[in-house]
Amino acid sequence: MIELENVRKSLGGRVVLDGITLQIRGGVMALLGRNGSGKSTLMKILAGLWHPDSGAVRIEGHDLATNPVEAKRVFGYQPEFPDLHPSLQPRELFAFAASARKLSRGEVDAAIERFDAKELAGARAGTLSQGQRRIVTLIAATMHAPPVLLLDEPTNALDPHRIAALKTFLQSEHGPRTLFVSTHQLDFVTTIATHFALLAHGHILAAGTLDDLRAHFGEPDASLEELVVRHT
Amino acid sequence: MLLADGVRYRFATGLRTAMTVWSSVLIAIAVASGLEADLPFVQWSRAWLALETHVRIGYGLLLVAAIALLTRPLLGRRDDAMRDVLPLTRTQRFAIDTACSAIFLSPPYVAWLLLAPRVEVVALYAVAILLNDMGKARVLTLREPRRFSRYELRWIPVSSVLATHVIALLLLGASELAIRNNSVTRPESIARIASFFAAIAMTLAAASVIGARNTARPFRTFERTLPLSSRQHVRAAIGTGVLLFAPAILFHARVFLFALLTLIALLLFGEHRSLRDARTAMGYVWLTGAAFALIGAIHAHLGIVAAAIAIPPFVLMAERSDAIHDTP
Repeated sequence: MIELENVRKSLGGRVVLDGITLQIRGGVMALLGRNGSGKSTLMKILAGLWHPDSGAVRIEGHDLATNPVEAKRVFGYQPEFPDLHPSLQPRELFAFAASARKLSRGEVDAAIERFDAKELAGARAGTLSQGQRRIVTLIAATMHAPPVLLLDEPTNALDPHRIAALKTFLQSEHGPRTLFVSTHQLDFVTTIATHFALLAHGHILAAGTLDDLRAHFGEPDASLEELVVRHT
Repeated sequence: MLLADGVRYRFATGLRTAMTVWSSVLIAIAVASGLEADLPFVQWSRAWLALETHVRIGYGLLLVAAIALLTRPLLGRRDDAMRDVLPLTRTQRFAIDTACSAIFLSPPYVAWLLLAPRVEVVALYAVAILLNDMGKARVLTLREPRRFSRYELRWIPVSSVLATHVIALLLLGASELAIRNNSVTRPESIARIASFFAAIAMTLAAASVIGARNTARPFRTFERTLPLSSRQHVRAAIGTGVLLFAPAILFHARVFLFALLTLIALLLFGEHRSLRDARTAMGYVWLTGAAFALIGAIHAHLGIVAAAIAIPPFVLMAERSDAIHDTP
């Protein structure tokens, strides 16, 4: 479960998130909005990378401000930019992450196998394509089969094979109980998400199922794309 | 296991590159030995110890803070999301940071042990880095480059240049101390001491630039698509070099020779593969070694031998660094 309570964040004097309150009790919720609407800022706050100016964030009941280590045990996070150091070999990242999360070699190998990425593990990140680097970050985020998964633009630069593997994983028994995904790929997200949150100018405009959104905006026949384009 | 994996991760994500900056210091030491000079480090240590304790603490803290400012980003990138989301306790982070700092400091520490009986500066340096890590003293951390005042500044953020100037001034002050407190009067000895400290200043400037270049990669990618001739590239590199070495030129006339040699080397070897990107940090480090080799050639044959032995690995590292950063 993910809980955001009146979260506010300013960057460079500009309010990016203003009083965000949201609860995700399992299932898949997609965060939708324009470029610069605050999606990645919200994801970074959820991942504990940035601290909110005010408000509280809890992951599976663990407050990120007071109990960050326990909170980080229960979620996986894939950043928007797979910015790996060029001289890093993915297996060095996997080994470090596995040690920190107390995982066995078998669990790491299974995660690598899941995304058909054996050949990537020993390469230098500087020689990998953007899509391959994204796969590496995806493996690091999912290797411990976290109950909560935070994905920021997960399909950018991914080939159709890897997108299919990602979908399979998300819907499998190893997939997360709660998935929060920020994306612009509506085609992808409509195949996995049950709930949607629309973000604009640092505010959540509406959150719920597609029918909830239609009812909220008074447009019973609108598609998700139409709602997003008209209201965010 | 966690400690080893953590150190290995940090080694791959910056520490390995950071370690290369010590090569320049080792070259400087090798050349100084070759010059049969009164080793500046020994002289500096004597001058240092002759100071009153409170003055030493003051200078020491300034120096250490400045060095920590430059080296902190090299010992592990800030904003490394993949690392920062791992459930590590403060103790675990501290252990990894400490091990990395110890590894990073080991080359100068060993050199210092070989050259001087006192290690307090190195110890202060180590403590400052650890405190910096522990306290998350972000004020001492180089920020992301926010503006580039002119094209000649390339991808070097203004904060790095200012930090480099401060370091250069501190080291030039140390050089003056070493000269005055030891009543050094022979012009060759003065030149050796001044050059030695200038070399350290250049090395730290390179360290600063290495830290900066990692954060400015997107800008550099764009820059490579601009229709610039190699002459324009060289001119821009010289502009940057002058800017970086300005303190040396302005505040210490003797070191002007060093800066001049550096610029000449830049002009002569501007098209060399490892210097085609001479504005890169490792290019500057390479130039530091090259300039020292020239000084060695002027002063003593042994200096040439020492530099000849020490510089080739440097070139390899410079080229390797370029290869690493040529990401698709």
